[in-house]
Amino acid sequence: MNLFLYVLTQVCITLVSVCGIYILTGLTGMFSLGSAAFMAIGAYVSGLLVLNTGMNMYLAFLLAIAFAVCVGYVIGFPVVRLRRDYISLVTLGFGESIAQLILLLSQYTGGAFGLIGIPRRVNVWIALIIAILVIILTALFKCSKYGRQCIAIKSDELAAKAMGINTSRVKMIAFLLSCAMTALAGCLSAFNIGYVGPTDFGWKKSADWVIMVFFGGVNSLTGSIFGGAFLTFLPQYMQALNKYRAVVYAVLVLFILNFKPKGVFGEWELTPKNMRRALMRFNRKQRKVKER
Amino acid sequence: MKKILAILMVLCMMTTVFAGGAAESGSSDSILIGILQDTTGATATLGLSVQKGVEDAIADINAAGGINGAEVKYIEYDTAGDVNTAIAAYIRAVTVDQVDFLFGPPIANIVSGLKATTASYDIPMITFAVDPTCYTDNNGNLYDYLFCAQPSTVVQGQIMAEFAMKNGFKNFGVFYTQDNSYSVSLLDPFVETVRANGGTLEDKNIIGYNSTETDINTLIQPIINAGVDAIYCPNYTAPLVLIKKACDSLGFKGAIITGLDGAPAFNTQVGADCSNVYYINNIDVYEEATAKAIEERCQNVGAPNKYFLGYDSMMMAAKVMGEVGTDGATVAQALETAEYTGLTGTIQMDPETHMPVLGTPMFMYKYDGTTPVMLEQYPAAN
Amino acid sequence: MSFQILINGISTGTVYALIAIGFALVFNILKFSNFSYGATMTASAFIAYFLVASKGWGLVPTLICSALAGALISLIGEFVGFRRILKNHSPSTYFFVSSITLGSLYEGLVTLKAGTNFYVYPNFFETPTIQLFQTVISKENIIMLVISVAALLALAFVIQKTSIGRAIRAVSFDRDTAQLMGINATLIIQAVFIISGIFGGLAGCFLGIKYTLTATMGSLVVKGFIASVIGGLGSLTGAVIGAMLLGIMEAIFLSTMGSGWATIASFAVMLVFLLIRPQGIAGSNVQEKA
Repeated sequence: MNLFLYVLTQVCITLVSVCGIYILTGLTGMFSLGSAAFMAIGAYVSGLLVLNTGMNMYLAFLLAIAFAVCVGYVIGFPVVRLRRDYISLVTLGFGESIAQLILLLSQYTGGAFGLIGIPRRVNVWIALIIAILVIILTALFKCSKYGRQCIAIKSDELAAKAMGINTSRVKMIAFLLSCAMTALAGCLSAFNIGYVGPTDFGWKKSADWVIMVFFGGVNSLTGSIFGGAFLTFLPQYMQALNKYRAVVYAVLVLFILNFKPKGVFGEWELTPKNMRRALMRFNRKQRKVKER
Repeated sequence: MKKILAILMVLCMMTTVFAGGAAESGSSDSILIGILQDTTGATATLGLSVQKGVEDAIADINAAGGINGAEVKYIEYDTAGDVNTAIAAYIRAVTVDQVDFLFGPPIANIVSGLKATTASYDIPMITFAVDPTCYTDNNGNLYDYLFCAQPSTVVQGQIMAEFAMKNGFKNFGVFYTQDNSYSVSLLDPFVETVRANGGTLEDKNIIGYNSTETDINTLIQPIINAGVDAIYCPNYTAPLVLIKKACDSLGFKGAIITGLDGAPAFNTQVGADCSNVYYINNIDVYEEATAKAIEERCQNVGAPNKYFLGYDSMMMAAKVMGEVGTDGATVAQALETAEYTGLTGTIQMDPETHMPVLGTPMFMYKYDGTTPVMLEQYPAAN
Repeated sequence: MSFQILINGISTGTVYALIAIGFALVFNILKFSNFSYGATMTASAFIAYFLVASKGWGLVPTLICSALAGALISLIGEFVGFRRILKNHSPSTYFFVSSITLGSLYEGLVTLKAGTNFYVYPNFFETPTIQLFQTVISKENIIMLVISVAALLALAFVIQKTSIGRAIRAVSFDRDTAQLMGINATLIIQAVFIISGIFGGLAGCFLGIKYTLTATMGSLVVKGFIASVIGGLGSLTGAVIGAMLLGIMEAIFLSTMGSGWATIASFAVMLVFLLIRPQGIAGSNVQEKA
């Protein structure tokens, strides 16, 4: 049970950041290889605030997120103006720079040793509640005016511009929202484990999140959440496979990309309407079987 | 419909598998050891060596009739060099598989991440992370169930510094990996000891670099140009090979002093004359029993000294469990003052630090060509 | 700034250039950044190590073996990772995700075979360096430079003068139209992957000689990526120039401000460069969809 709760906490934290990536990549079509750096910012800022000033944890979260958003605004300035290929490059370089900065400021951040001794106050229920709130927020964003504008930009930026959408503003909003969410994930992670390591936030981590989003379905929030949960849980089932874990994981994702390119869920969302429809279809099938 | 089924299926999967696996544990006539190591990921060489050592020790213990007649079994866990994975594996070991004793990885970052979790369960764990802060919380209190079976970096750094001073080196440079906690923790003890003993070590000759950096030549050149007698390089083996190559190609004639990672197979990997390389080791490779063990057992072991540490600490754990039984709290208490004489010499635990007491033997070596030569034992043998 | 640092920079730049070329080739034709390229380098270098170098056969057979292995791996990668995505007309982001996954697959396979130990190629030269005035130049760098330049010239010849090169240029310009003109686009894409794989194999082998062979050395692909962006995505000459500039710039930063700040400074320079001249040094032939 303890193990289940721990992994569930990990899933919740991952889902918070996957929601951020969904907004950025799924809705807006921007690719970031530096999202994990915002997670690092969230984790370090909130951890340092609480360790040094002893302030309330949630206040520290808010301040950390605010800080991450400010940094995101600075870095977002070039990001929303550049070609899509360059976005991944800029965010990649940004991520590496943040990692270096953490090492260089070792008298504050603990350098290579990481930030040790953060109080462990985030339990599974806090993580679960926050994850659900973030998912609801993401769903609302998707249905809002901005969400639709994001989708328009993703499918054709030029046309979206011609329709009168302020593309760089909408892209900036999506980018900042995503920064805030990954920073929140970092805060949760720091206060759940009680430790932040400087090497845990490389571009591979950002790429992992992108893969999760694609695995479940890049156009579907349900799919992205499914992908995040499934791929975080998966390694737990493969303890016995140990060495083969990385290979199995990669093969699985390649299969999905090749044979189900829209991801497991395509564009399907888990809404009450869709569930009712699915249930009706199921009933109809049952009836047919009975009639036969 | 299919999609709803997929969600339901995952929900089922999430809950079911965690219940499994508990069946094999808990029986009274066997003792279950968890070996939690980095067997994949960047530091896997070290983890695999420890793992092999512990496994061989368990095989030997079983061949000799087990611990008080109880057979010893083990389960391996992989941390993948990642704190989250390590904690999940730890919790799996103590709650699902219900192991009686654990061996943790030789990586400070992983142990730092794990240490708070160990307080929640009463299962003793021996790790090999040599940084003393891995074993205490913020207020300096020791974690009851966490132990280290390797002399701390402080001791190692001091030994290397004293040794270097004694061998006539006066002017030092330091080239360390600033994103590696092991390397960083070896830095200060060395620097302080050198300065306290009147050696020269200018701040500008202490250069930290990132393990991702490729251009070693440019980075190390200022130290070489400063004309130092010796460069202290507390780095992992792979960067050490590059540093050695860079020093050679830049025509550095002084000595290179390394930590445990300069031990063989460093010499074969460099594949050239290593006569200016000095290193520290836990084992005396020319001592008869050790030499025999290396010959027989370490054919496929990446880091023999980690193998011996794993072997010895398993033997020590077995000795303790043979004396006091397998109850976690009692074993942990007994481990605080445990003493065991094995292949790495006598390990005497210090209840104040949960690490071996000062004076656990370390050996300084240099290479003659590519052959290791043992120069001195620390502390001096009586 | 001493002359030695310039030499060091060029020597790093040469490696980056080899990486950047293979990277740019694939970008040129499929318009996506092939991140599996790094792991292709790793895998082919390991194959060459186990099949040839560990038997002591010398430099040239090792290079050939590595290049062939790279070509083969790259070809398999095209089939496994990209063929269907291309057929489905999926957006380019799919290639990106697929290439990252493919990369981690290769890396996983290499780790399975070789473990996480690192390996070192045997020393191919008796005396590894030459002393020239006050500076030291290592022989492997000179050979690397020579082979890189030769390979580049050969590549330029193939692309500019042969019919297959013309076909490659046509497909990279507009795949659909080229297909209408009777060019077998699939075949051409395969050919490009093979060439890119050859460069990957060479780069991997050189990386192994210059540094050490580890399962994770493919992460250097990021440098190739940066170099090819600075040079102008898709342009081969641009990629080489970009790689050289990147190497020299890094060497200068490293020697003046040390390891950590150098990364940050390189990033800042890159950012400014992208804002001022987003099309890269050579000017890109990639057009934004209108």
